[in-house]
Amino acid sequence: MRRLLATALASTVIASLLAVTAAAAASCPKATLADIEDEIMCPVCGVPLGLADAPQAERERAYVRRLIDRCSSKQQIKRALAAEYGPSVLALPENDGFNVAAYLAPVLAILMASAGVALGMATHQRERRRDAGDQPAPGDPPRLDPADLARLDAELKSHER
Amino acid sequence: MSRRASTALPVIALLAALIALLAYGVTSRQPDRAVDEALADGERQPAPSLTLPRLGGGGSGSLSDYRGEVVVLNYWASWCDPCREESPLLQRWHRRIASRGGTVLGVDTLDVLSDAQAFIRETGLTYPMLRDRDGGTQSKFGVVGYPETIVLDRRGRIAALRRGPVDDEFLTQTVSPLLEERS
Amino acid sequence: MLNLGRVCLSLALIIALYGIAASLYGARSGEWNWVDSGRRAVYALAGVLTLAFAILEAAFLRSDFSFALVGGHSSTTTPAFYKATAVWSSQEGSLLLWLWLLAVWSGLVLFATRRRLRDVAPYATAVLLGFAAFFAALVVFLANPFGPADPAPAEGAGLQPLLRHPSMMVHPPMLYSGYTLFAIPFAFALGALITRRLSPDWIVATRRFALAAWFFLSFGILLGARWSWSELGWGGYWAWDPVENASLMPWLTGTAFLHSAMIQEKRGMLKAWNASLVLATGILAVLGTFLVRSGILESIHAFGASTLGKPFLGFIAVLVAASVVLVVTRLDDLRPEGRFESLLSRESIFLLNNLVLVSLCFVIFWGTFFPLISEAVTGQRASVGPPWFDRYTVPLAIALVFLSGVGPVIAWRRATPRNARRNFRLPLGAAAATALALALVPGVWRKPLALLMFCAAAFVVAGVVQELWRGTSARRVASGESAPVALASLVRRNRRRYGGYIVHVGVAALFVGVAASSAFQHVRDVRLSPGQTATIGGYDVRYLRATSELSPEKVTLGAALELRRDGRHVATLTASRGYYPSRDPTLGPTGRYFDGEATSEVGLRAGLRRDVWTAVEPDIGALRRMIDGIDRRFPLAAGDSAALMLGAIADRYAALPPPASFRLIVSPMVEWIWLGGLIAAAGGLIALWPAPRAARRRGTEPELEAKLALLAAAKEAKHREIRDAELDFRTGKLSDADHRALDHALRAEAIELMRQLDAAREATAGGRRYP
Repeated sequence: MRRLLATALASTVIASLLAVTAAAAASCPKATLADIEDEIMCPVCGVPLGLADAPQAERERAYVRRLIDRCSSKQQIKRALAAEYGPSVLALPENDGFNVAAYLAPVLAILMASAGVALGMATHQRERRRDAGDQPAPGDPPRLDPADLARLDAELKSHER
Repeated sequence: MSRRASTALPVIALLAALIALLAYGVTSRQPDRAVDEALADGERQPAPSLTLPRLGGGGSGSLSDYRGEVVVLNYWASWCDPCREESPLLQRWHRRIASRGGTVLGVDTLDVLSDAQAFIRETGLTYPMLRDRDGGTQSKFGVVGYPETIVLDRRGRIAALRRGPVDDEFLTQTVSPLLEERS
Repeated sequence: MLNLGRVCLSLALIIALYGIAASLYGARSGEWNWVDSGRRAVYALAGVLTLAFAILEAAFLRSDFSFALVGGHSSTTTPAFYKATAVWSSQEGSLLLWLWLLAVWSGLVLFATRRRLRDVAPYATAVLLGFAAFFAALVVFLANPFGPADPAPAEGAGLQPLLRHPSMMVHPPMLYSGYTLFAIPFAFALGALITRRLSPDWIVATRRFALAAWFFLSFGILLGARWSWSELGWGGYWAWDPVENASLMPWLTGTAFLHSAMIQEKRGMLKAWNASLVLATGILAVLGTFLVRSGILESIHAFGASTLGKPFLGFIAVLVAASVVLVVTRLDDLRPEGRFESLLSRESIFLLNNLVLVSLCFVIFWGTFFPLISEAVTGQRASVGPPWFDRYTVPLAIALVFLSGVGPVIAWRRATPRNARRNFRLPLGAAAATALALALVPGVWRKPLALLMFCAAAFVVAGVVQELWRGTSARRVASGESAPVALASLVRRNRRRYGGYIVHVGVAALFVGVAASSAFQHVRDVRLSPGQTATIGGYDVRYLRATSELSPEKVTLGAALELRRDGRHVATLTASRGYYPSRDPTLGPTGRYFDGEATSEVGLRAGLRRDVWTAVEPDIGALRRMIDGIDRRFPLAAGDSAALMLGAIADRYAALPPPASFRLIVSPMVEWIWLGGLIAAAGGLIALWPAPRAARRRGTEPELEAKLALLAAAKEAKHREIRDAELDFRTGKLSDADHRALDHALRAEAIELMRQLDAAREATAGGRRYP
């Protein structure tokens, strides 16, 4: 009886240990350096980290790798980097203060340009309709002189080889 | 006609802004050498104010805290090999001048905290350390590379500057005479 | 030799200044001798600069270290090919290259147009010589390539390792040709504005210059991207680097101009817009040249901070001011002649295309300059990297590709709605079919933007195929030729149209490659010992053995990798890292190689479906003890003995390799980018190909008065409209009724122009009757 209990206890302990390690492995979201490298900068060089090979860039990469080994997610790694190097280490400007302009300006510019084009077209159409309204209905198109038409045909043909 | 001219005005304004931006870019890219020029003329300019968090926590420190002392301000980073070579020298000098009213003050820039702390531990540095996370204070002294050292006198004026690693000769020539000066 | 070179440059500056004076004087006074003299000054400039360039090249090839430039950028151990390209690896040499290409291209164009555009050409010559004078002044006073090295060193520094790639021979000259060629339409635009002669022949000529410039610039940009992918160790082809962006911006506005210029040719509309666009393109080309050298933006391309920033800024300010003043004061001459007839027309699609292209240009501009702007405004420099650019450019690119599929299928002037609906059935069907087919491929739905791009590309290709089919069929009906012959003659007679369609197909293929390789890439960083295997993207990559190699200029340590797929051997790749020695004297004879610069040699297997890209980072740390030991014992070794020791280290690495770090990338359809570029280049060439003899003969008729030239060009444009309308009808874009009405109206206008031309010829002295 006691042996049975001991075995049952041992099995439960082993099973729960296995479960815990399995759960730990499942909850380790392996971020990769390659994935992050083009979303962060090398502050000393001013280029994305993937392109940089300065000593500081090597240290930054080593730091990112350490964080990856500690099962940090991409977001966590980015936040850690911003804490270490300041917000300008991220390749996307912060969304506050003046830096909002980084996100707003393109959208505004495109909207304004589209509005400009649309306005231009609308005014154009209005003017056209106004001009067309002024003129009388064309009726039959005027006849063209056959000699002129023949000469025009000759000129058009001389374009071709 | 006036409608077309009125669309020209914002365009002109934008183009003028572009030229202004480029002008700003061209002039701001030159590292500030006003300090070097002043020193060449024999002038000692008052150092700009500098307040930064202490490395490893414990509030912040600023240059004004050291008024009355000779300060050897050293910009460094743990990934910079020449910094590694000059640090023992700086540590020796710190020991030497601490009792005579002087101190070395390190500013760690663009560095991971744990890397910096490991560097300090390995080299056995005991002088006070500040941390400039993103290098924002460098422009005050026109720092563009690492290491760079600025020597301040007891009245907080810039007395000497080395844009590169320091050696014993430089420190002897610049720091020792300053220690003799009264504040 | 140095002195001869310097004399040539000073002479170039003097010739340029003389030419400006001569051209302007000749233009103001009407004395053609002076105008011709100004043009000949350009030829002389090209000649003198060719001599200067040849002197510099010869010095590099000879390794003449009395030239400071040669000592700084080349060495005796540099291979001859790279000695030749090292000329433009430096600030001074690249400026000379720019100046030389400007002179050569200007000379060629002015020679080709010497009998045309006679009112505008003198001013254009003056502007081009103005450019030349600026660059010549830079080169003579601030960045002289013929600076002496005193004393001449025994050995040079060598070419920067990253630049030792065959693309170095072609990428900068192509890119600079693109930039300098865009100066030519800029100059002609300024000339046309000054003389108020914004005639049809001006826009036709300007468009051709812009097309040639566009061709070279596209080539240069794509070559740069290909170099990056196949040579650099970061595993990508576009990094949204400021200098890359700076080359893309004039490309975008230039493409917009190529389209909207067609509207001006046909209908005389958008004149102010076109003038502004071509001027902006020229300025953006100079801006790109400025960015590389001024150091105001951080870039992997930059020559570094220099003293050239301020002069360049002054030059750009002058160009901007001149452009603005001229456009604003000539707004009256830039009034549109025609009207948009319908929203459903090729003209309005071109307008939308312009909107998208200029928006793209603005977005890229904003992202590139935002760090500087934020620093100016807030004092803090914000960083803007690839994620920001991708977010805004991808939707615009999809819209652009989609529009490029709409344009070919819709008629000029006013499309018949019923015909338009019918014509879009096949392309839309192709897009839908693509969407459905790709939905079956696992994982595609997770990347909706890539899927959209694929559908847009299918839309484009289907539309172009439909156009070619319809055109060929129509031609066969008329001429009874066989299909291939009919297709060939169709394209030959309508080069611009079908050349343009082929460019669209190429661009669609290019964007398919970009979308696929961005969205469906597999990347893995692994650490392998010899014999170990990693899997990626369906491939097994096995580290076979370590490799090592010694050459006079570097030590190479690498790895041989075996690529297998589905159990079958696919290829053996070699990836390596080349270690170049540093010139720091404090480093040991072997250690200096591993503390200097290193470049990656990529192991690449290219294929139509996917590329497999491998790079290796050998573990030098394991060799450090050996390196330090040798350097301690033999600190002064040099030459052969140093080579012997390096060889020992290299052999040790190959024999007992520690685990190495690898980056493995499987990227689908990257080769489609280069193929698409080639297709687009072919299309561009077709479009550029000069017109048949008959039309060209007319162009060389000498001394037509201004009014005659204007009328003749307007008549040409009208003829083109008639033929385009006919082709639109034959390919089913216009209904019979619409075409008849349009044809009648156009012919009436053409006859009217014919009559005006006759009257004008009668009025001129010795009126020549049209043959």
